[in-house]
Amino acid sequence: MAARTIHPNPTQSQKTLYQSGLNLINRFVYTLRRYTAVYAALWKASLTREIMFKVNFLLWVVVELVWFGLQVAFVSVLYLHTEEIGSWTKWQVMLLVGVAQFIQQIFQALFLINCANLSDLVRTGKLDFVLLMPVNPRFLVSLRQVDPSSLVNALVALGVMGYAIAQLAHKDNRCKPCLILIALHSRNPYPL
Amino acid sequence: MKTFRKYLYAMWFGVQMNLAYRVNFFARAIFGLIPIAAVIAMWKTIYAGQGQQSTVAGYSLSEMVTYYILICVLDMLIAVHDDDLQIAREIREGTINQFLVKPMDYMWFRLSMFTGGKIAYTTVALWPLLTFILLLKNNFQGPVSSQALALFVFSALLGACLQFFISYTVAMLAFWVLEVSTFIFIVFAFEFIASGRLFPLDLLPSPLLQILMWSPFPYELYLPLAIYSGKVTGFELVRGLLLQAAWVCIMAGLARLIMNLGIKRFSAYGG
Repeated sequence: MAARTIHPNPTQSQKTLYQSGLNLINRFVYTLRRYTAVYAALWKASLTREIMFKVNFLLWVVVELVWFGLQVAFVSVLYLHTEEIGSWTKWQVMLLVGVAQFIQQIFQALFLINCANLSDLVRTGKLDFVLLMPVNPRFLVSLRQVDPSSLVNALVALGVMGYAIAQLAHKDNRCKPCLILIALHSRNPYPL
Repeated sequence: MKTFRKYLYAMWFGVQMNLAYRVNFFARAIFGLIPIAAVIAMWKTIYAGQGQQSTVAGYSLSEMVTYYILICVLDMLIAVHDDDLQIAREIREGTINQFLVKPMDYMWFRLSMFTGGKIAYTTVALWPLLTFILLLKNNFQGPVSSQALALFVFSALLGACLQFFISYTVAMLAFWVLEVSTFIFIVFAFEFIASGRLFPLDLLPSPLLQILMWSPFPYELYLPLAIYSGKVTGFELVRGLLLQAAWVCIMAGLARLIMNLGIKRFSAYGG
């Protein structure tokens, strides 16, 4: 019990403990703020870079949209000829396609370019300049470049997901607020 | 004869250059089969849900599996992989100069290189594909007749030319814009769905298919496959082959026209 009470006059060792704890928190907050600032600068640099080639940026959005449209078209064509594919209905598959696209686009927006660039950095020796910078090199190598065109397409994927969920909820006709639960529930092999 | 030998050497050069990437090709051939295997598995599930004897848009399960296997075969033999990106890079970086000053036509040189590349790719990719076909041999159907087989080969060759000229035309845009890979990917997406690579085009609603048959894309893959399986016969077959030949001529002409226009405004130093 004695250990738990706070003495009005802390001993020297208690003071040091308190101080080092505070230091740790301060350092954590400082690092967090610093890396947030670095990441914000990286975003800004990536956006500036994209704005330099506006048409190219728009065309990449179109490329991804066309390929996504292709997947949606494939599913639509399949369901012209069948009601179910192994118990999966049309809008369930649409939801799956939407979710897959959303996850892929987010991955593409934040990480993919950096993964692809890593081998080039090693091959050309540019990795040296990354190692010289006063930040964690793994942080910089993984998150340096952002691809905003993929973020645009992630939004489109969200739209498709929303539409598919609405279709599923429309058929299910139960509590509308928990749409995503309905969507998940309809895939549950042991429904309530 | 001399002219012909020149391009034969170019083709041999294409074989040698591409054989340098044989491990890469082998990996691509193997991993390229995974999505097709997934699609085939999906079709099996669809047919299982409808009874084994059922047909979808006139295709039985065996016909459907054969269709996708032949897509793999044609993809190996005639699909353009990165020739268009290579051509665009040569224009952008100016290395095309060294070919333009030689007594050789760049378009025919590139067609020879494409042929050489396909020979090299086939020698490597054939083995995984044969294994794949053996695994699916229960569902693999032969051509409806020997005549159909001959016409299939002929039509596939025309399809190869068509694919090459479409890619070549798109690559020629590099004379005007810096980055053409976006255009290449957009055209590729249309080719992917409208050539029948993703699914047999008979699955589409009939009016849409009628419209599509006036575009060049179905003649890249769908027509040879429809001939093989006997889906297209008689008058339709003759009309299809004529339209295919017409599209090859149109695209070759267009490729030539755009190349001439591009070279007129092209200026690169060194290279």
